[in-house]
Amino acid sequence: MKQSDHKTNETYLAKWLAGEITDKEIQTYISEKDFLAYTKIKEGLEYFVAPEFDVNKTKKNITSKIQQKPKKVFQLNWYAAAAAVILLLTSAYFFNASLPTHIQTNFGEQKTFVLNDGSEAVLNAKSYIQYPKKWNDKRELDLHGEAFFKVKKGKSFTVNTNNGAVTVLGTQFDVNSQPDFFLVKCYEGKVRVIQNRDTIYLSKGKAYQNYNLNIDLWDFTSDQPNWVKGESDFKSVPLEVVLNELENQYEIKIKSDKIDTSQLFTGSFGHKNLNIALKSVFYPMGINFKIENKKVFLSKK
Amino acid sequence: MTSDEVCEPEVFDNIYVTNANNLRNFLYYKYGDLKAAEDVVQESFIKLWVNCTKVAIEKAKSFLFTVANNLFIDIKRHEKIVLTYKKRGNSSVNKETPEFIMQEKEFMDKLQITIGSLPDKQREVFLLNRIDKKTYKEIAEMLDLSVKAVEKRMQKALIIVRKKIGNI
Repeated sequence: MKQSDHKTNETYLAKWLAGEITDKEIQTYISEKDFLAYTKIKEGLEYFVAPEFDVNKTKKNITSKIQQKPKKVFQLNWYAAAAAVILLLTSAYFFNASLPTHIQTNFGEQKTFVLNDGSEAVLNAKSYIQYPKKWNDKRELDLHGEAFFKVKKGKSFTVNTNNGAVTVLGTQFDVNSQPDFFLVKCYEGKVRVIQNRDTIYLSKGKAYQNYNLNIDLWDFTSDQPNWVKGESDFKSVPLEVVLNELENQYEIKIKSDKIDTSQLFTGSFGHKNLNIALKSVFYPMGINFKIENKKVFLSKK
Repeated sequence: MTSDEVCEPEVFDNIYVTNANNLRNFLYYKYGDLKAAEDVVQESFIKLWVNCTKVAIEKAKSFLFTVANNLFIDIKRHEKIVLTYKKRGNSSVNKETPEFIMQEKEFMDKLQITIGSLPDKQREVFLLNRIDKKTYKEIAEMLDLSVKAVEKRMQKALIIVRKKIGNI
């Protein structure tokens, strides 16, 4: 009987230590002599201690080292943006002026709306736009994320982003401003892009893209951005930007630490079916993906 | 690319407070070098901070243990571990003879040496359980093992200790 028990429960000592097997039960597995020895070992072990550890001192070291390293630009921008919004809101409150209008989209959401001068704007997923109730001499608004504008002819119209400003008189254009990534496409008329003191003019059918200071200019033919029609397309953009857009459209989290997110991607994905979208991006890139409840894990093939 | 909860200073502090000590002890039990263990704890948390946007909060613990382990392997092979033990309190009821006290000391010294000579994988589990009072489940989570594997290591460790100590 003892023998069979040994086989079915090979970790009886571990279970006894954890209190899952009583002193009485354990003696069906081992001799009394062994039982006494194990009991003494168990008791003796109670007197051992780990060396002292000054948790606070180590924490201080960590804190001082962390502070030497600047946080990612991405976060700084966010804080700066948040601070700017708060500042704007509070100053508006104090001067008793009307609060600015802000419009925000969630994951996978798009909003089309008319600005107070009659211009039209389409806001892509996970984006944010803010403009005053009333424009006086200049038309100006703030944008985070991506939007497509059809601007009524009139005074200068400026879109301010963390990456730079886009100014037009009357035209149709798309602006996509992400951390370290800036894209402007002109669909009609003429657009002026100001970024880091450089000024670029785009005429109809011209696109401008800046990723980490790598500038790209090209021609295109469509009359409105594909994302308005339910498809996001990219031309030589770092995979990072594509992943961000996937996350925004499908409300997922993508774990990309196992792959190189700076490699460039040209292609598109639709906004209807996550699985197909993931396939259309990752198959050509030679990347495997696995979906586990709203999280996508990426790995090399 | 993912949520940046871990980047919140309060969340990060919390992760530190709950894991720093465990991590340090684990490293010490495994490699026996106290100074290096503390340095590696520092480095691991800095790594976590730098990667705070990529590590989900529920993965922070296993991230720390994996990073720490890898850092240590890079540094060197381990040293002999010597744990100290507290004096057993003198019982006021039971007067102990000098002989008994000596026997006890001999036993404790033997136990000390034996623990130090356990194979790494058994020792780290054994000490996390016996000294840090971590349950098998907690240890399994920390080291990314199954509970069954932890139990097996405990079982083996205890048998080795018993054998090496011999007759008591």
